[in-house]
Amino acid sequence: MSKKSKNDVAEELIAHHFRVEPGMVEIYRLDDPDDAQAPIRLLEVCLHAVPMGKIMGFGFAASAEVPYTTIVAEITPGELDQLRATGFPEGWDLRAARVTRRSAA
Amino acid sequence: MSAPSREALSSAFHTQARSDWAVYLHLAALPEHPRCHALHYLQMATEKLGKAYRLRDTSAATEDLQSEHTGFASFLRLYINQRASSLAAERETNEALKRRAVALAREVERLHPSVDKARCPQNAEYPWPESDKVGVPVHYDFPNLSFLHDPKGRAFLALVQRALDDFS
Repeated sequence: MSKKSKNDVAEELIAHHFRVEPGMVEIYRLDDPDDAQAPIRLLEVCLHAVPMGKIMGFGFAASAEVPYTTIVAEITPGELDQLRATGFPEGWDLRAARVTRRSAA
Repeated sequence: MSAPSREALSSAFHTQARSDWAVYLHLAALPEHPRCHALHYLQMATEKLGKAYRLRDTSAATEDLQSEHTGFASFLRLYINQRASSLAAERETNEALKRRAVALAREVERLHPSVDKARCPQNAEYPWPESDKVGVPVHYDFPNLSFLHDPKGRAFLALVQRALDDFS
């Protein structure tokens, strides 16, 4: 059986995270979709996130369920507003990101 | 001098977390010792486990990680979401599991002496002021962590074990 494409996996993962987290507002995908080697990189904006005052990304190795390395960070809507005002740290610039909102998931 | 790779650093944190966890399990089974010693190792194991996963994000500044003692609760939320399909089948619904695990993880984070010390000075490592007296970890019973002995606590500990095993 052939391995699923990174884009298919990323889309499934985003839909899965909306499904399992009722507080999820929007998810930004920041990796280059044409680079199959680059980890899937998601910034998730969630009402129930633990407010940390900064972006903390965690990396998950490829698994049977998600066969690509994934980096995920979660922030609150308030933290997103703050970051828009003060600027995003390296690796988390949303300008080129593609966003999925709950209504579209 | 060249710096170690992120992969090597991440793996090293995981190795140390595993050893801290083994010591926690060992000490937790020895009731003759004050609880603070086992809890100290639980706090260190979970902190390093979160950092091991965090170091895989190449944008995370390694120098910041040494001075950070929170983040495990945040990690657990994401870990549960990421592994939700298999976790939910084994236990409760994803949402309930996440809510409880995060609350318990925050209690464990507070075992570090620098976390939330104004509101919760009791910690597993250093003495703390108590009006005109001094609280000592070895004399304190940590009632807010009694959950570790009930089913919710065991589910939390099983989650830590799974995140350790799932790392590679």
